[in-house]
Amino acid sequence: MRTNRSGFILSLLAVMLLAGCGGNGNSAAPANSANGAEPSAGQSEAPKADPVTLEFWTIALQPTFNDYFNDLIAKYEESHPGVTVEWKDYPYDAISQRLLTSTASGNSPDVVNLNTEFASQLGSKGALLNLSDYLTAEQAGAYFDGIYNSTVFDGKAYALPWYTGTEVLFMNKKLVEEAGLDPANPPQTRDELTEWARQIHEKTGAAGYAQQLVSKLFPIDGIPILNEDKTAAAFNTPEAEAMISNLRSLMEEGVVLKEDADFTKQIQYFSGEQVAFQLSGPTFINFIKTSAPEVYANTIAVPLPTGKAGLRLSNSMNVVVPAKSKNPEQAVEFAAFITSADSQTAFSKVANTLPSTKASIADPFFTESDGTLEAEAKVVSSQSLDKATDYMVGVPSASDINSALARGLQEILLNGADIKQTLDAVEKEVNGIIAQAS
Amino acid sequence: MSTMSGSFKPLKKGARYTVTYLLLIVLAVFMMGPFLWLLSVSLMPGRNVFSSPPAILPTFIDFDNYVQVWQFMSFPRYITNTVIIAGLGVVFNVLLASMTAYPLAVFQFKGRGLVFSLLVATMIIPSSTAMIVHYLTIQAFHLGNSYLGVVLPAAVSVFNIFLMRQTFLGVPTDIRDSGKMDGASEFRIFWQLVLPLVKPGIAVIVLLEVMAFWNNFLWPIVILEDPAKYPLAAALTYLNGQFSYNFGWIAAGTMISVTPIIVVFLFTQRYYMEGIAGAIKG
Repeated sequence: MRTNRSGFILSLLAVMLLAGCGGNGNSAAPANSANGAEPSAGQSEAPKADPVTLEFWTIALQPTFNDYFNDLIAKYEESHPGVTVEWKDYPYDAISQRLLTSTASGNSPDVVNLNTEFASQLGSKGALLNLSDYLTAEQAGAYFDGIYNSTVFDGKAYALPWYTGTEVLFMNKKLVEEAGLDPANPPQTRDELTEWARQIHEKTGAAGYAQQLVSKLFPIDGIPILNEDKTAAAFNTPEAEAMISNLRSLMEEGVVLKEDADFTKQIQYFSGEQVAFQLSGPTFINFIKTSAPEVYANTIAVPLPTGKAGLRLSNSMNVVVPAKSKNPEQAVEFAAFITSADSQTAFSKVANTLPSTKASIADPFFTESDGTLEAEAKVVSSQSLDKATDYMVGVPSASDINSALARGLQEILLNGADIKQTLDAVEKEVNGIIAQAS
Repeated sequence: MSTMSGSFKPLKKGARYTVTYLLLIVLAVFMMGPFLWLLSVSLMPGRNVFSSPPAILPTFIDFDNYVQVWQFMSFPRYITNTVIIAGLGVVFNVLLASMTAYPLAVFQFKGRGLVFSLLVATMIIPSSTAMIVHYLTIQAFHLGNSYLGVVLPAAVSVFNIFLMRQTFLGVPTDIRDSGKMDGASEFRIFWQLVLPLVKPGIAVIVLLEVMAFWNNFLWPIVILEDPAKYPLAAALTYLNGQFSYNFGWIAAGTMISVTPIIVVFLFTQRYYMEGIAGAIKG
């Protein structure tokens, strides 16, 4: 339901075409900003004579957050006379198509909410505005570095981080206790998690967890996807082979479900008590709360056991400004306003999500738990935000590279392809993608 | 041997019927399983949606999901939108397909075969690749935020033309000749004599297009600026928000949205079978 591969790839092809046309606008933008240097440094900037309308797109936030956004926009319009913000909201499955068609017809939106993968894909193809030309160092420094840097390429920032979350470990207390394990003393490392999963599988018949076969499996174990200067693939190592063959034997044992389970399927497995663990961001709770109330009552959240790299991965939503926006200055200013510490703290409170701004995290909302599963997961997740980094940090053409890696993992783990041969083939493919992009 | 089987005949026949019906029922339940599951999920709020084995039949019935989702979304408005879009789409398709197919089936003119093969050749192009072109075209007509813009790209389909052509081929040429003898114009022959004879073919188009427009999701979202104009399938996506997710509501909303389709199908089912059979025979 959430990902539409073929449609997505198709749209990416089209984006490349668009990026070609967008090249001019992109290089013209910095010259533009030279006149209006640091527009959003002070809000006292004199309003322009002619009124400006900004089109602001979000993903699947209406109608739940209508009040929050309407208030926020009203506040912004009041302090910025002459600026009108038009808020539109599209479903997850439709936003990329909508963005493509609008951009192609010359009606580009001004501020758009995108996930990191899509933002980095568009950014490295030149379809997004380089925000470094507009932001002050102070503004850029307000976000957690690891999250902010995930969409920075060659010193160019293509997105402002918005709401985020680090993964936590959800445990089905009933299954864990049935297997004779103590939920009060949760696993600390991936190896311990595997041991727990094995014991649960032996005692209860349920599997440990389901996961999607995606590129983040590499960085979790300290295997970089690309080399330092992002010019070549770096994942084809003996460590990667060991990681994959370990995963393959876990799948054969039944400890990890032998399936490429996307988020929707993970929800189903956890709700159906077919798995005892779920590794994901705190928003996962929303999905089991109504669809599986008795499982929800039995679930606890604990810090995610870390892999060899000791990394905490975040999964952020971003706000970007398309290169074809007709009002880049005002758009960046509004994007900065939406993602400012105050706005983010307020949004986190209504949406029960996590902010990507350092100042927000001091709010008691993120440090004190009232005992509910939501609060528990939120506190656990927010405590690791400063160490968090997005798993696609600075990877250009992230979507293309992700799908190449995902296909390779599927070949090996589901279709029984040879590990070394497949890794060699994927390495070649990824190098090809990078060569094409630069 | 032959006499024995003769005396057991009624019994054997009965057994054969039982087996046949049993297999058919199993197949029907298998095909309807996902639908029944969705129905029972929508009727049982507060139960684990994904429990295994899945609950095919509801153990209790509660309309809470329906009441809540009806209050959450303004269904009357979205249903009206959908009816307008589906109605426009069906009228366009029936008119354009039959009027294009009639000459291709009945008239003798140079290049008839070529025109037909060209039309059929376009069926190879996948429709999703045309989306940006469609968008630019509709924008150029300034129909961006209108129902007409939603309908036009799918106002005529080659498949329907093909279907109607085959149906027209099955109509005896004598009818056209007798019409000519009585001095009717070509259009009058088409409209008053031939068209009433191809009702089954038209019913197939009506049914297929109602279903297609009713379930259309991506294109309306792409072309319509104003969510208040969305048809049902597009509006239902609002139930699947980033932070708000209630599978019971999604199930109830989906049930509400498919009910009209099922009703339409029940009424046109007879024509549908005839039409398909007619087109294949022709």
